[in-house]
Amino acid sequence: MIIGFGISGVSVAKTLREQSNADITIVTSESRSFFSRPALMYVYLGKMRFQDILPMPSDYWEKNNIKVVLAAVEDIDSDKQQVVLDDGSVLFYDKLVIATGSVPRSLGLNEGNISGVQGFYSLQDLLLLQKSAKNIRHAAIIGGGLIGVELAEMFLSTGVSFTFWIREKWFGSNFLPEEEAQLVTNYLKSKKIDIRFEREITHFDANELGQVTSLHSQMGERVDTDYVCVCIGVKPNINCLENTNIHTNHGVIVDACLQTNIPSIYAAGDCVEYAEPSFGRKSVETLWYTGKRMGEYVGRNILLDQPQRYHQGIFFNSAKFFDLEYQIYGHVPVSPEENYGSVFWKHPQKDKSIRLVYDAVSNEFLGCCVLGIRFRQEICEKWIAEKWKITEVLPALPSANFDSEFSARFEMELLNIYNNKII
Amino acid sequence: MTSILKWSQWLLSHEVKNEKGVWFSSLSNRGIVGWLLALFLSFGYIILYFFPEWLGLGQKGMPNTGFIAGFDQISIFFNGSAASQWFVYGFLYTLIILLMGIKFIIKYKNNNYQVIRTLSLLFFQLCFAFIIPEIMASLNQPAMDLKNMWPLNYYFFFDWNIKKLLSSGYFGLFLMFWGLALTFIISPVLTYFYGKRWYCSWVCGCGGLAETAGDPFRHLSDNSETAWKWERRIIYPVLFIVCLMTLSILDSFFRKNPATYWITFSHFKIIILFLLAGIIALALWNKGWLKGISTSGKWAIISMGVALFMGIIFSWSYNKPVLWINALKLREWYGFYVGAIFSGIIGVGFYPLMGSRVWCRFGCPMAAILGIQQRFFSRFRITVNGGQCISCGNCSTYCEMGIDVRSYAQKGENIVRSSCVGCGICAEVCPRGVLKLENGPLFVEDGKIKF
Repeated sequence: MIIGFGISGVSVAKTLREQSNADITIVTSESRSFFSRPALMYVYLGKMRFQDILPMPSDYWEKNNIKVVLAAVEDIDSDKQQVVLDDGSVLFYDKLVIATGSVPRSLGLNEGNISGVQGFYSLQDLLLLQKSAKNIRHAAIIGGGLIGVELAEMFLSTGVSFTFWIREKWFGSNFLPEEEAQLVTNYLKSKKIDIRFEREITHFDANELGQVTSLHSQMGERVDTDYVCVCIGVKPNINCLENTNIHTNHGVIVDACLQTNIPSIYAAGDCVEYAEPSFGRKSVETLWYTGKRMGEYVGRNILLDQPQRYHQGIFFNSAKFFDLEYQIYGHVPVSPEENYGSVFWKHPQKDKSIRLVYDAVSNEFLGCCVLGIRFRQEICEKWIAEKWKITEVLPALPSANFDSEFSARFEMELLNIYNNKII
Repeated sequence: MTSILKWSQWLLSHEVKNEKGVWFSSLSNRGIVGWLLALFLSFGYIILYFFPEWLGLGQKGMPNTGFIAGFDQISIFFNGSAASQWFVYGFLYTLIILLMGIKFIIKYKNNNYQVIRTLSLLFFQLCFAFIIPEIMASLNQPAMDLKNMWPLNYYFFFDWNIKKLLSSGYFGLFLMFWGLALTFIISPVLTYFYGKRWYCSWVCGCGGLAETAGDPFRHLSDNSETAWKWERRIIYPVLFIVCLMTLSILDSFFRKNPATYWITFSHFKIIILFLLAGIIALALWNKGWLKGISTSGKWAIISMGVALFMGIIFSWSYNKPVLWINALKLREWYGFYVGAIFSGIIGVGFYPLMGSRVWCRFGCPMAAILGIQQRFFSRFRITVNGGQCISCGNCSTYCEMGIDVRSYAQKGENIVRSSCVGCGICAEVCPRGVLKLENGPLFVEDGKIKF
């Protein structure tokens, strides 16, 4: 039995079904259809319909004998191995996987009780936004993350006027090195968006109906706003575990085999707090790719008596800010540190950059991140795993390029920058 | 002329602005505007093919009037005679490809592959399909679109075409050999190295219209498994029929002129039997060919091939038309149902209903042949970048050939599909940079990186 119908839960079910005929039940309170969460924005933009963002044909679940139950979990009784649902029914399990994902963080300004303030995360959030979008006079996006940019793109394309409130000095300076953060920031500014940096929201005003009317920042600004989207990140969704004996901290605590403190209960995805993260990795990683990897691992190992250790693999992630693509492989520190050397190239006119990071002492290649350019994952992972030296990586760089044919190439520039640095 | 200019200006400025929300627009969401456009286009083709006099085509040597007469001066400029309905069609077809091509280039200006590919389409349409044949005609030579090859150009082996080419001196002979080389040498070689895209989305005129004017409708191609099944059920029979038709026409041609030409009737018979035997042998030898077909299906296909082989031998040994087919009837039938209705009225008329590649996907025998080559003898593929897919579905939605690209990408599987025309839009719309069109040797082989 799997709680959660996101990428982690689905990966568990798919992988498990490939090797076993076990009864599989998925419990979800969001939707009977498994949809791609990062694609919700495209439905709003009219680039795809809801049926287009379903990764599997809708009859997949029935064909593969996977039962999908639409209900919320009230309680998990690990002694009796049963789960109590909010419709009163009780389901029994042999093995349980918690893949409840994450929920948007709150500003802590009691915004849950003000109407017109929402997050953008779930299908319900999308429906709510679609319903309110027509009547918005001026919106606010709070939080400089990926979802914030997605919302900016959505509002811009539908002509909703808005202000983008960001806590940091540059957009993305909490997950991008400074040069990259500046590049993305300038790119966003070129879209003629009203972005306000280094702002923290102190409180909201609401009218007598409880509807938001304006917000205040720590700089003393007051901006009339009748719609607010709070997207300051997500945290593990562990509400349904509150009264159970499953150990939690920030997320569900799991061991090296993704098992919780109770032997027959596993966890995967955003809700997980991993006990032994490898070097440079966080214990809570709320990423699509991590969820998929964990889900596939649990699906393969849940029926084994001697499960293998879970390997986090080499870190990678990707994102898109409007039309600007971003990819990262391996370890790229946000702020410059003494032990790291870095080769950084930025296109003089266009929004493109490449950064290679290596160990300043051993010269080993540690990772790279690119903006406006695509790199080949297999090759980057190979260089990192096999501990190639930066001097070996640079001449081999053309093989990592994954841009479409006839694209301009910039490997020589990078090589020159490195050579000038050494001399 | 001024009205065409004005209309072009409006079209360009209107289309370039309208990029987002294809599912919100009545034109591109099978709304009322879309249906009206589909009706307009379909009826336009019906009138063009069957009632050109309604457009003002002069009857029995009378001068043109109305719509067609408006193109007389342009036609006289190019080839010295008044416009025919085909000249008007070719002119408007080229004009639309040019205009919508410019719009497409502006839309994808940051992607060199799209820009160069579209320039190639514009060049081949303007020069090869439009200007060069007009020049040939004005020099009293047989006019031929030098990029249009058999079997898309299904009349290449028709008796009248062969006679025309063979009676036009060295130039006609050159066209004859060029056409043969295109089908049997140039096309297989290029498809081996680059996939069928070298033709379908870089050169072909049907592809030219689909890639430019059809771009706002590409998401309407059905990407379900059922659609894929019907694709195979229709396109391969069309290919089969075009081969049969060509065979029977050539048969009747040689029957009338058994020893007039360098190739005699008996040479022809031997060539055909060897070709057919070769294909059957290849199908038996290459296990990949019939992969995915059930055992009974395999036997049905192979026994059909053998039956065909025997039938041809029998009909020839009784000195009857090959397989007792009435070549003229079949030709008439193909010209009407496939040439006019399928490729024109449905192929273009249904852009706003079934996407831009209805003909290329379900009907084109050329695409079928190139597709078989691409699937089994080509280095072309769409590479998937590791585990980066977020299953968003942009690739599948915007695939004009209705390939469910996502179903491969989310498994990390490279895409090798016979129908892929290599337009590269899946790679362009992917928000995580997961897809890349490639035709080089694999990059990582035996743990070694190859350049």
